[in-house]
Amino acid sequence: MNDGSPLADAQQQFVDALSNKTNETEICRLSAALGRTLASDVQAPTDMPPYHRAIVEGWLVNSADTQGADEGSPISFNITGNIIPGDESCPVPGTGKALRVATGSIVVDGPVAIIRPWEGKEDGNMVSITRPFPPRFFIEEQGYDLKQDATAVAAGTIISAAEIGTIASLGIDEIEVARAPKVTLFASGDEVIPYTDPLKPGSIRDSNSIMLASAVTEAGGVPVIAGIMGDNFDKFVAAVKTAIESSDMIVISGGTAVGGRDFISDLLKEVG
Amino acid sequence: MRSGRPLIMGKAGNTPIICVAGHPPEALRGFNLFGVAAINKLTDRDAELPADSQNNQAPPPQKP
Repeated sequence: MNDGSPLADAQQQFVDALSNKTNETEICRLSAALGRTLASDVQAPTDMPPYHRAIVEGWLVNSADTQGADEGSPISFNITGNIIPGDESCPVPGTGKALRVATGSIVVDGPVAIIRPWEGKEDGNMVSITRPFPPRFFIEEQGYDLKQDATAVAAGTIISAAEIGTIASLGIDEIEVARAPKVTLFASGDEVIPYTDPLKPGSIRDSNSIMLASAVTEAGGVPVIAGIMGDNFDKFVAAVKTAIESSDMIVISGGTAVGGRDFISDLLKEVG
Repeated sequence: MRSGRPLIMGKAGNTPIICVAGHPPEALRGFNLFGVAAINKLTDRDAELPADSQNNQAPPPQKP
């Protein structure tokens, strides 16, 4: 959001002058998607969760059978089976019957409820309760997180670990992302030397190129270190012109201070 | 930007060109402010304009 400050205005003007490249996309495996920008919505191919499921362990009973239970007149159920995660279906508990359920298990549709472990007293194959339970108590409904075809992750989202998890939970491995822009980096100045070279009096190590390359990667671009350009104007112009042909963006470090501003300004005029 | 820590931005056709200061902290600051904003635009990201990390810093100490 532009807060109206001179800096924000300058950023906004610059950004507005650029054209986006929404048409340039590519398919990316999920394992390589961290930091990429999603180019098209990811939609849920099925309801999520794909079935009603227990969100606590306990006993599954018909809700209607629990009505009227209290401390003075507990109601007992006969435990007739177990439902565990991985089971493909869940039967309807019969009248006066209960099924042990584990967290995450598939649960049948209809007016059933889960009695949590501390709300029932198990004795042998019986469990008794002293309060009623409403229908669908502690049951997560099919499609609770996402309905089929709903947008799970919207285009324009920067993919983080959380989005990767969401998309993986949908069984999707390939997504459409914006092509990562290629950013060519130049360092300028006769005094600038590669950062691995021995330092000489008056020289300056080029730490900017590798630093800015890292920043480009962090921002979602693909850096290309074009190297150090001396103060030869014509050579610099030629190198930048060549780079423009294969780059989406150019970054030049150095040469913008008062003494060198004309050099960079002239260079921009020459290549622009 | 402060005097002595200038930034120059331009375009060659549709290619943005950003010239940042040579002083490394200012080079990174300039890139973060304008380079990241440009990459966000190029990739059509839903992202706010990057904030200035030095915005909330106290002014430099004055001599008595």
